[in-house]
Amino acid sequence: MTEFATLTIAAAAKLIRNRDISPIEYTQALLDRVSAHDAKINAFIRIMPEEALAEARTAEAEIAAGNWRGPLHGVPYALKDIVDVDGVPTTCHSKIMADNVATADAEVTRRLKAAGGVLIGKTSTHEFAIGGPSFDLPWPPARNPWNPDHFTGGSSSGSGAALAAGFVPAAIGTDTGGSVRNPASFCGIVGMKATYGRVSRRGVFPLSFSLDHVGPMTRGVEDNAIMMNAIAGHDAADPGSAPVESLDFTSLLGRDIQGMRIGVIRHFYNRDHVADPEMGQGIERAIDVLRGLGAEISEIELSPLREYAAANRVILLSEAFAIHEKWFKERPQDYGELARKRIIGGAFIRAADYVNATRTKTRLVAELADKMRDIDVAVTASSMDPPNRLDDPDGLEANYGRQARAPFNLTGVPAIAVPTGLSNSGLPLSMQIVGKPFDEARVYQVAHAYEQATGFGAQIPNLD
Amino acid sequence: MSNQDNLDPQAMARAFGLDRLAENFPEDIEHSATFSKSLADGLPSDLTPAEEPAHVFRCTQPDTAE
Repeated sequence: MTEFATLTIAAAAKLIRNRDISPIEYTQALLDRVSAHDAKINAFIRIMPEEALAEARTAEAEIAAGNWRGPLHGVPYALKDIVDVDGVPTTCHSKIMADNVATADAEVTRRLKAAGGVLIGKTSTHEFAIGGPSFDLPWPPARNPWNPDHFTGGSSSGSGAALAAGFVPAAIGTDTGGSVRNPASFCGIVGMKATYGRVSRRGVFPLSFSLDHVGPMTRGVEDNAIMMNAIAGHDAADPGSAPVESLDFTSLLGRDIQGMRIGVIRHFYNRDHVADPEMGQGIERAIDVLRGLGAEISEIELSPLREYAAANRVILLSEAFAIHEKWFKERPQDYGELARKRIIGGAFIRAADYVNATRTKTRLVAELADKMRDIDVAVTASSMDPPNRLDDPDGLEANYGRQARAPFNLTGVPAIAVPTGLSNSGLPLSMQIVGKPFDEARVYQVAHAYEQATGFGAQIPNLD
Repeated sequence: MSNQDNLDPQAMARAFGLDRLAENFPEDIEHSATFSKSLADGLPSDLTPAEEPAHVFRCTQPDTAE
């Protein structure tokens, strides 16, 4: 009997294409699993069983007629609830947007529909992708399937939780300061933030125009590349979209990494921040694995993480406040406390500081390009700590900035978070692999080689 | 130190038209103003006049514009 909860996209695609499983039974099995377990995980804001089953029926009929569209055809997925679906509410997990019904598909939605995917629901997030985890919003925060007392990471919290819980094999998140890679790290899954401009942002509620990325979240690297194949591509209607040709992001999977030059950005996690020992040891063990696979390991030194983080945050908050200013004048009480506290920071950033943050961005983009000239990819931490308990607001706040993801939003280069195992208390550990602009295929190659060597990421926790 | 360093965040919020925010959430304003100041202090202090912003506008010729 097929275990649908752990099925990868790649495996499901073969089974569906050969008509060994039906998209309808696959979708129904996952909807049943959501029904049985999501009350304690809160991954979904909206479950769409009727629509999903209708899409599954269409997929089944098309495949039966010989019109197989590709590996996502008939495969269930979920969207973070800041991504528009025509005729469906996009709430941004906020009272402010509770009645907002989208009037068109986001470009990423359009592409996933065109690939034949089956949308089973919209996932929880931090309010407006910044304020969370919060208990003062219309919906509760997602809980970590590895231990529901713990944080999922955010802001693509529900997408990360839905994958770890085996509710879906694929989900979409967004990432402005690390919001795909943080839940990937905390939920023990794979999350990719591609090069800025690689995936269209059109139809996705903005947090920060200069830093927002849309990215795939999956349980494995191959699946992530398959998703990227479906969603990447130039969109002339997105001013940030890069006019570059999309590639086959699976093209380098399975190739060895003998001689690959990997630079470790160690000071991000042993000097600028000092990572939790288990997290740090997990990264060092991963570096040993990569060395064992034939990679040439060196160390690279960048500007202090604080400069990258400050520039990212100044730009993010300034742009976010510009988007939210009207609502803060009219209905500040309708925000949750965390979103309010974080976004209004943008009101107090001087114009000169915003400009200087973008000048810092120019400097740091050049620095990273220079330091990566003689390497193929870089490795560093994603989160500095395993996931905090949800009932520890002081710990959550203290760890909010303890991450090394924001530098790659600021510089726009591709970065993937991959699992490096579990802590002694059974919580996920992770690292990041970072590439050069538009070199996602190589990032996937290294991540896949590591995954194949270790087997991390293949398990899901027991929800019973 | 900028002039902004000497201003009361509540007064600034009111000057920005955020009266409801200032009235109902004064602690949030204090917290956010302090946090934003710390972020700005984290930016490098040695930027030279030649270092330009990331999004300087670039004109395109009509026949090459998208």
